[in-house]
Amino acid sequence: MNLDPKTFGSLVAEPFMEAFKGVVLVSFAITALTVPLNYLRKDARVRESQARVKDVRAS
Amino acid sequence: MTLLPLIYVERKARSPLFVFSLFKHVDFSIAIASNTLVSGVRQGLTILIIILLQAVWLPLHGVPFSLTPLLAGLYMLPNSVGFMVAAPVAGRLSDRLGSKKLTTAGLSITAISTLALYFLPYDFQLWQLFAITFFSGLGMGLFSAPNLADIMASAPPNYRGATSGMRGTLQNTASAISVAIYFTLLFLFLYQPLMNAEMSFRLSHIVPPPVVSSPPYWVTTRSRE
Repeated sequence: MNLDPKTFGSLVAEPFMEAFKGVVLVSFAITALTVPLNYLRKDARVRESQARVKDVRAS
Repeated sequence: MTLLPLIYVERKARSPLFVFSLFKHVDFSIAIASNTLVSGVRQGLTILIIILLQAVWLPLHGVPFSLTPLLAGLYMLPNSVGFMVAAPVAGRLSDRLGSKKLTTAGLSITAISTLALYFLPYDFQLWQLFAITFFSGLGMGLFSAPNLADIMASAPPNYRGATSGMRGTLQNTASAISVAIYFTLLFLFLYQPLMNAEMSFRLSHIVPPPVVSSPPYWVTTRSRE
C-alpha cells in the first residue's frame, strides 16, 4: 500500500499528536522539577564568599 | 547494567575517574543532576520534534518524503540560534549576577516552552514552532553556561579535571539514554491510537488487511499428507 505524503500525514497526525503530548508532559515534569531545585540551592558566589570568611576567621 | 560494576570499581580505585564523594556536596549534586536531566530532555525533545515534522507536518503540507529530512533539520535551526544568542551573554552575566538567578530563569523559560509544545496542534503555523524552539534554546543557553560555572565552583580545586569529565560523561550518557527512553514512551503512547487509525483508514478505503501470499510450510506439508 503506497500512500502519498498528504494521506500518510493525515492518517498519523492525530495518533502521533496524542503520543507526542504524553511525552511532552513527561518532559515538562522533569524540567519543572529542576526549577525549584536550582532556586533553593546556594549561589556559587555566596558559597565562595562564605568560604573566604571562614578562612579569614580561621587565620 | 554496567553502571553498578562501574560504581563498585570506581569506589575501590586509588585515583578514580568518577569521584563519588563529590556527590556529598548538595549544591554540586543539584547542579550536575539538573544538567544531566535537562540535557536528556533536550535531546529527547529535539528528536521528537524532528519526527513530528518528518512524519506529520511536512507530509501534511504535501512535501515529498525525499525532502522531509532536510527540511526538518533546517526547521530546528531556531533552537540552535536561541542557544547561540543566550549562552555567551549568560556566561558574562553570571560573573556579575551569580549563577542561581540565571539557571533558574533559563530552566523556567525551557519549562514554559516545553509546556507550549503540549498546546501545539498538528496543523500548527511554522512561526509557532520557531518561537517555541527558539525560546527553548534560549532557556538552555541561559542555563548551561552558569550551570557549568556552578558545577566547577562547587568542586574542590584538586578535583576540577575529574569534575569536568564527570559532567561530560553524564551529559552525553543522558542524551544517549533519553533517545531510547523517549522512543519507548512514544511507541507506548502511539501503538493503540495508530492501530485504531489504521483500521479506520482500511475500513473507509476498503483496503483488505495484508494476506500471506503463500501458506506456511506446515499447512502445505499437512495438506500433502
